[in-house]
Amino acid sequence: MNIMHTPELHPTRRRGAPASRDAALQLAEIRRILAGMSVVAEPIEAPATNEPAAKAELPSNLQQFFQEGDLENRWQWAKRLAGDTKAVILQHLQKARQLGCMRRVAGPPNPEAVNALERDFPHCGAVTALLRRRIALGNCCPAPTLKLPPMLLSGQPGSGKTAFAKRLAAVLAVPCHEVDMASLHTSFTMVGLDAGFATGRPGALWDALQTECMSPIVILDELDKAGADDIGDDPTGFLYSVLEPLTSRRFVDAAIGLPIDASRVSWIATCNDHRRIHPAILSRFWLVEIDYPSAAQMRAVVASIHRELVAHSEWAVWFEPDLSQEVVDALSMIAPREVMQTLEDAYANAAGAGRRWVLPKDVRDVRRRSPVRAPIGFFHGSAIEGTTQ
Amino acid sequence: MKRILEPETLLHADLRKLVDRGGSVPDGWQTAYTETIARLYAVACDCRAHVRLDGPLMADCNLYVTHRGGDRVIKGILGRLERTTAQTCEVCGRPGWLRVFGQTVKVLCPVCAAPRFALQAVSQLLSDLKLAVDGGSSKTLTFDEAPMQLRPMLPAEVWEPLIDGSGDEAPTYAASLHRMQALRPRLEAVRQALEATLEAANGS
Repeated sequence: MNIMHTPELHPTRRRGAPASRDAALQLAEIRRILAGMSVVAEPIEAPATNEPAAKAELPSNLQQFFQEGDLENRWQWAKRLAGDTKAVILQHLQKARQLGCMRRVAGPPNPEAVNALERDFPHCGAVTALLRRRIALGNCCPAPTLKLPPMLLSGQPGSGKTAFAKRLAAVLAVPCHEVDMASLHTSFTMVGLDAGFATGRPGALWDALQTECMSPIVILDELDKAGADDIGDDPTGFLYSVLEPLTSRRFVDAAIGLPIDASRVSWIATCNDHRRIHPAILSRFWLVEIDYPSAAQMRAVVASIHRELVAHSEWAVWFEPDLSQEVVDALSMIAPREVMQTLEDAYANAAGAGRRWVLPKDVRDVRRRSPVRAPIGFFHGSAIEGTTQ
Repeated sequence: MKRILEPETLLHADLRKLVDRGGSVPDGWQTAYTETIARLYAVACDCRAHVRLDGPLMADCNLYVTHRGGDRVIKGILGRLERTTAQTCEVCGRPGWLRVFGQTVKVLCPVCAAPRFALQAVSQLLSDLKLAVDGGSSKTLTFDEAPMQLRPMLPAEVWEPLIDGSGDEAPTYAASLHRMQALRPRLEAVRQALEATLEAANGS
């Protein structure tokens, strides 16, 4: 009768025809029509750059994340729940339905981005070499995808392991989720707590997978410090199943109960001492030892950090764009983790002195900014001796 | 039934007209329309002999029959027709809802709406591709904002991640129109196939 019958107000749609189901049915119908066309089976015309012609009828980077029937079953189950968890579970299932059962998987990254990664993290050459090999392997597929094995980056504090993992996620153009394993006391945080409990809710892995991409990077920071106390659940227990491709293909969050494909997740763990990790878990990772950058490599790291700082700081336009060699050498003596803060403080010192450039003494001043303070509490033996003398 | 059909009243005459005009009703709404006429026949007693009916009429999103002098029973039957057809695909009769295709609107189920939406999206993309060649400028089409119906037609190779370097947010995928120029012959063929599909559906 009139155009006020909007889809949102439509009773049929409210009851049983959500937007994602509509989209899925539409896509299935379009695929059916396209499948009957001879033109779809033919490759598209080769571009001028002689790149391989596309063979896939569908976007090749979409894969099945869950079965729609499973989702409907869990939806009916969640509607029968009672208490606060019902709303939480339904909300998560609704989001999963909106995102759809087909999700994007990571594809081979841009070669220039990989070159930039290698340039900015020269001391992580082993991982970059692995990445290049996996890209070559992924390109052998008709539909190029990229799957990284679980990696454990072991190295001294402040050597840039976590920064490298985050940068790798940016290069692969996938979401990145960081989990502080040192503060993890149970595996509920990762795999969810059963909805039968009043505080039942999905875990961090479920949350990490609720994006359009089903192959995010999950960074397990300080894995060697997890489960240091023997009280309660083993917080690393979930790794036994999720690191195995066969079992992770049907990962089930304890609260949601929907089987999902978590096998495309790229796991990157960091640690300072891999000998403290259980051998069964260690054997599931590809171990890479990350050392501090050498002096020559450190210059590249400083240059990278400087570029990032300048790019994200509004005050950078006031200063000269480049650092002098002396300043770079001074910064190269600092651990990579401290370079960013030290450099920012050096710029602050230069600004305080009314200069538009940074001098080595600005860096030295910064390094002296934190004198060692005597701890509060008992006197040390040497201090007592010093007072008696 | 025989008792209420004889002698013929004004209501019976109008019902007969409605039956005769049933051929103009879309296939998907035939069942609802036929059931409505059957219900009207069932309640066409002497006390409603003065009721006049006219139709069937098609609004933007449903089918309706007007009445004059009808009581709440007649209003209920006719209101049910309006509500049912507003929720029923006019092509196949499955549950559907209002779809907007540019200047036209239809009540369609997802399956019947799919080729129309796809044709709309492909036509728009081909138009943009032609403008990009003629005008020389190329705008960017992002994966998230692209019509969902285009996705089965565009190979993954045309999408490139936009990396801002910070890595804090989920990446955006985009394709420039210049990059998609190689797809024009294929998209033209897809458009023709979709048009043929829709013509066949309309013909049947």
